[in-house]
Amino acid sequence: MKSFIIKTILASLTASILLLAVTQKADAKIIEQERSLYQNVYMVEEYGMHCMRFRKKNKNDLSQSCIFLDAPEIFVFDYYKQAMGVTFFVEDPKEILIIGLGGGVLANTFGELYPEAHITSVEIDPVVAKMAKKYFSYDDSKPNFETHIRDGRVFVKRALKDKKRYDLILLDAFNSDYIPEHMMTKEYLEEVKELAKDDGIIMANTFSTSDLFHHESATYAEVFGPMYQINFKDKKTNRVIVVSNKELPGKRELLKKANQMKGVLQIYGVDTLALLDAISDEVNWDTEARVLTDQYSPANLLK
Amino acid sequence: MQILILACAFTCGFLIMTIELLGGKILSPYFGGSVYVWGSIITVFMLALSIGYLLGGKLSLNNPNTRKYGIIFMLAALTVVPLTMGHVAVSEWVFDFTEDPRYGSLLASTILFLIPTIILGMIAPYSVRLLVRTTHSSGQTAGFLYFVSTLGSAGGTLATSFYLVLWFKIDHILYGSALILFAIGVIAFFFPQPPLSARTVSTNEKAE
Repeated sequence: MKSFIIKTILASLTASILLLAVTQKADAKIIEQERSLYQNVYMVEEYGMHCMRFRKKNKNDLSQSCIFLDAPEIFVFDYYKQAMGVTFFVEDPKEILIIGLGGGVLANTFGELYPEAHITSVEIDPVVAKMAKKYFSYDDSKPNFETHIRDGRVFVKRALKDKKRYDLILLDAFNSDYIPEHMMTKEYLEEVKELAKDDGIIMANTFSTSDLFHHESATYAEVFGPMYQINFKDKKTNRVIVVSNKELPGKRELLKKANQMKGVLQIYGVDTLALLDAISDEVNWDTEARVLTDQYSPANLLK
Repeated sequence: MQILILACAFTCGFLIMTIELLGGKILSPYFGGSVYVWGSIITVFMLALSIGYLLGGKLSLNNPNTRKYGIIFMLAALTVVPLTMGHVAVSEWVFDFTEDPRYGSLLASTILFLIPTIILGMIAPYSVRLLVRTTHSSGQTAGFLYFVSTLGSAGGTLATSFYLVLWFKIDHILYGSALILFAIGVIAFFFPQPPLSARTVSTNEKAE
């Protein structure tokens, strides 16, 4: 018994040393780290990229935001590309709201795509916003940018009360570790829906794996009815949902719009036709899945 | 008798933490899920429990018996009902005029949780009074009571955060808690035995 315990301890020690060696060997360098109220925020330089992370571990999918140092306009993540699908649904949005600034990649991109637009970004973590400014050239001193350090749901409720309305709302508040459960409920989506103008478009960057996929899809369907999902077939971790207050355009209209956007999106490394292909209105979730509400929202337990 | 009171104290500890944990879920749509929302909730619960301990101890001076003990449980149950029915309205009302989510969450949790938790806090010292037989063993009795009720709290925390929120709606858990509290109150109220321990203690004390 005793020797078994010693063996186990030795084995786990060796394992952790090996693990340490592997992590050390990788080409990652922490250039800045800061503890915030919510998490450890790490800025990492690796493979010619700057990445923001909330964990030290060296696994690519844990990065929240990344940009290439020598080509900052090229998207690192597929989900940024998927998110560009929403440009097929809007016509020169004037008021854009982003819930979950992160590195500010989406805010910057939409600022470039629609220079006339006013872009309001909400981020709960002031350290994340600070890193966005320092490493991702997010610049909210420009007159058409504003940043609010606030809980997304609280912001939405307050904005509704203040009678604000938006043409385009991007929901991007989740990371792979933890989901703010009060921001994945029917009531929250109803508030967001009300915050969008009559012809407003709402886009959400969400999960495509685990049970949560079904619950979340059922919740969106409950609030908005029909929806489009954007998901590159071979990539599994993220999908983008597009919903609206009005009827969503058909594929043919999207094709027209995609052709218009082709040149612009090429700059970011987006293949417009592949993106159009990735857009689907197929009901691929379990429609019987229980809808998440403020009363029932165990999102982190369903993950 | 002893077992009954220990079981009551265990359940009380369990349900206090059930309600406290649900507090976070109740307030987060209005004030977020940040550390200060939890700070508000925990502050209110600690404050309420401290007041409850004081009042429960005071109440136990005057002819302690299991009927009164049962009434405390029933009262607690009755205060959980308006909490369940009114938490949305109260949160909305507070949100309307409180810009700062720190004070919003503090005010809302005071309105919602202070009174039920004060009453739940009265149970522990009252239980001690019903259990204590001699001054000599009073420390041990109190210690054992704390052990049992805090074990209940640990159980309530785990059960609620791991399972109950996965199985039930918040309001159903709250109504369930009220029902259990009321049932315990009724059982304690009709518990046939006369307040034996209370008498034993007074005679013992006289003897010393």
